[in-house]
Amino acid sequence: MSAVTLSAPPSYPVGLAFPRVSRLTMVMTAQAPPRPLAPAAPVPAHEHAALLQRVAKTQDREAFVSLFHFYAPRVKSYLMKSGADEATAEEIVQNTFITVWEKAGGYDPHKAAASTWIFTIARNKRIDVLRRQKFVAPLEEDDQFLQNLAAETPEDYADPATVEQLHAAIETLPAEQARLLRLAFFDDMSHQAISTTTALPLGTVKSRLRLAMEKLRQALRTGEQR
Amino acid sequence: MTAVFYSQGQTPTPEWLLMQYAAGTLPPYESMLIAAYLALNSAAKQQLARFEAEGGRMLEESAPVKVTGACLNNILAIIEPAGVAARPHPAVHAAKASDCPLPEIMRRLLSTHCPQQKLAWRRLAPGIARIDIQLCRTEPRQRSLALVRVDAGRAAPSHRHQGVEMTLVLEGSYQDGSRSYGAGEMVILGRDSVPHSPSAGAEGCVCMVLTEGAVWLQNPVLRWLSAVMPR
Repeated sequence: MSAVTLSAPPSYPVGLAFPRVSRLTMVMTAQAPPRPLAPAAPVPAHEHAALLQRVAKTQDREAFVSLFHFYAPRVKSYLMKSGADEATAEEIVQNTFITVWEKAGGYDPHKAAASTWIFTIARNKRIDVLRRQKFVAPLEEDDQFLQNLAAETPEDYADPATVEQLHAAIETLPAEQARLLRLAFFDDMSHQAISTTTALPLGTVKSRLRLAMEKLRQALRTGEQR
Repeated sequence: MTAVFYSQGQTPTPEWLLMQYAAGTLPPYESMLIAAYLALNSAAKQQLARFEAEGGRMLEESAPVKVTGACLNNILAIIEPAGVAARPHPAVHAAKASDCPLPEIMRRLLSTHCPQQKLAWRRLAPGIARIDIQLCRTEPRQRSLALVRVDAGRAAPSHRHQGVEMTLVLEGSYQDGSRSYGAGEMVILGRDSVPHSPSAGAEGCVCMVLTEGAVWLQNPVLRWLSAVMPR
């Protein structure tokens, strides 16, 4: 694992932090979410790791609030795209940031971007809520089922170089394939729903997703052999 | 609820499952399988981390949606200045005292996620035993998740599958055709695959197996009889 300094941390060069606005805009347009807000005083992404460390080391509430202002609206956006209603999304945002506060000491900026760490926490909180809503599992409340299958905070992180590699692989996909991939995974849409949203025939959605996965698989395999 | 590839006629790949796991959209049975896979396979862990990093990037690029002021106020009222470890972590269930021989990873996963699970090997044939994992009542019928133990030198009777079969080797190894699979390897067979008769390696084999649809024995009586005879 290559060492990454604090001043230029997480997993990618700062200049590449927002390379795919157009594709995301397409997704957003397809989803017709609530009107986006411009963040008032955005903190550059490469400073997020330092903010998290301030939360961990000195329980710095100001740093925490800065992180909240950047990430809470984006976590909410992710949750609503994944099908949560507004009230549920805010509840999950709240649980996510309470965990961010409590677990900040476990964050290692050498291993993952702040955004990755926060994403995994939000994802696990979402799974937890989904489990309560959808599954009639024969489990007690505190059994923590899926929430724990994906641990509370990630123990293992990717080498930043291989993260770049995967990202590059997604970048090389035809825009349409990458878009369908995102709809399928991060927006948790069924193939039928994607077909309806994109006005593509179901068979086309499936075959493009299959193509996209095959390309990613090759990219990942190449990565392992390095 | 989720884009389960194989229910729509496709055969999933381990990467596909890892990506769904990273995105938080993998159903319970598969999640259990992947959780064990991640514990046993460091390459899979790396892949998962890459997908999670992609999720983080997606988060950064999301167009923000306004959060109510009450949300932050609630949080600030709850979090303690002392911060770290303010809330006790829910107790992890102690592993059930049991003399049932189980791979360590399964003991951990089952005691944490389905402590009500009965831990007793059910003998199917000489040298072959099974534990059905009862994870979730809402799983569709015709899907099963089980631990299967095959003693050294024994083989499963030749059979073929109506649907997808995912097999994760937890301990030991098994041979299927000309290939051998060891601990931490996952094998996914597509629907309508050709008949096969996997056999355990020298140390025997314990696998977690997710099966969709029916399993057909080839010539049930003869195949079964031949399979249960020691090789």
